[in-house]
Amino acid sequence: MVSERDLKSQFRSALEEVTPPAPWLKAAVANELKKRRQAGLRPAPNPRLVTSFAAALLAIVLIASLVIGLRLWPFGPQPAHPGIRVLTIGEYQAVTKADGSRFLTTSEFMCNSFDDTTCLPKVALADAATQHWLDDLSHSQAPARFAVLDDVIRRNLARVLAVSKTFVIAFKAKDSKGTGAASTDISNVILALEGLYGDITLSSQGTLATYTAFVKADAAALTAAHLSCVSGQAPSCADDIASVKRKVEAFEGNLVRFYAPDSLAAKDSLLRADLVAADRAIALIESALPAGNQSGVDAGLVALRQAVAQTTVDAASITG
Amino acid sequence: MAAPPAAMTLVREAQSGDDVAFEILLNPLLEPGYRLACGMLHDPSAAEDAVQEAAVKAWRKLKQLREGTDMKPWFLGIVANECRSAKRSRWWSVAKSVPPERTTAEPADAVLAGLELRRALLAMEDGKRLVLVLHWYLDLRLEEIAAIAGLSVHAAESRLQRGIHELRQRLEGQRG
Repeated sequence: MVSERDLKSQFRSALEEVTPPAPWLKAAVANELKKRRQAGLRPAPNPRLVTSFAAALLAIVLIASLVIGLRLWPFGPQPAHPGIRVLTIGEYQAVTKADGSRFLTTSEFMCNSFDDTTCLPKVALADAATQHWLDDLSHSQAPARFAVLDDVIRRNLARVLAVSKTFVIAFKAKDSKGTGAASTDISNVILALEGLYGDITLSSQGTLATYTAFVKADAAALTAAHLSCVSGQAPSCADDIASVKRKVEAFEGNLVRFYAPDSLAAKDSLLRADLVAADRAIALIESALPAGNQSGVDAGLVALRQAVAQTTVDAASITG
Repeated sequence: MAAPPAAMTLVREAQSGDDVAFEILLNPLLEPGYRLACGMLHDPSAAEDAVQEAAVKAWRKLKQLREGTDMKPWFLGIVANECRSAKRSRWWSVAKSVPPERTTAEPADAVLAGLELRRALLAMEDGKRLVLVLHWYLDLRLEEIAAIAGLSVHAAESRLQRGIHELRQRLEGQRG
């Protein structure tokens, strides 16, 4: 076996190969900051705690609505709307496989310059594949096992279409930062969809050991997540929430990828319900953040912390 | 992690809007930030982007930096977050720099070993890769790693050990 010292030495050599000198970096960063200042960007004000009575009251109302909403939230299989057929597990997996692979294939491209005339047609193809998948999901209903992920997939597909529009606008305007930002957004969503695609198409019942190992690891990752949004150590609330969202979605995905053994089905159902509660709280924060609605953010954070805490309890009851 | 008094004064000046003070604080952190980003992304162009975006975010969020807190772990934490977002970029990539060509011929085995190690590292979960890069590539202490990764020192140490173990296993798996 390689000694730790040798492994460290190999590690450093391997990374030095992908770290060429960048003597221009300091100037590039200074230039970027100057451009942002000239564009009118200003440092964000110090985040304040909500202290006014009105804000606190609003937070209480939002939390109460959220709690009521979550209680009413349907977790089990829903009656199908007229004309919408509930797919079997096999049918849903087949649709996901066909639509998902088309989506992933058409989304896998890279534009390197604004003169690239093939770029926008490629975006249009990816949009068509995204819309096709979304339409197929709208014309059918997911079986109970996939109901939660179906909802997550729809949200992510809608997000792809929205970000794609901003990408096209930025590309036409030859706005390098705009295309870069849209590319980062789209990459994260595609990555999430890729994971969900795998979870659904490969879904099978986990053994007791596999299932509990995933629950233990995912619950620990979620519990360890930053949720402060006002801490000096948190780069930004949006980053914190994006990170927690990825963890919640990965957890939900793993519960489908290796669904619970029959003996743990009831406990698994509670765990899923609390993850959906976390999903809803994240959606609340995500809608409040861009609007600068601090009360909404705070209410969402309270609900999210409750959901995460409850998830920890659920996971502990499963893993013993 | 406490900042030295001189740095605390600079932080206060930067927080009150002194852009020169901010750049004095930031400049020594760019090189470790770039090394961290290269270690996480294995793509120098993407690493430059991540450091630039991290610098802008740090400037925007400077008022969130707590009184007396060292700026280095705070900034490297922002770089780490940017790397998570920048991972596997799609649709848009403009090459800014080309890695220098090798001037000396390296033994094929060494090149292959580097490739294998980077592949094994990229296959690992973000959190483990981060602590490995911080510890072995940036030579940071566990206290600093814990502050950057948002972990307790104990948890950082434990994650590091698990990371080393997993890296070994992956390398052994690749090499048969």
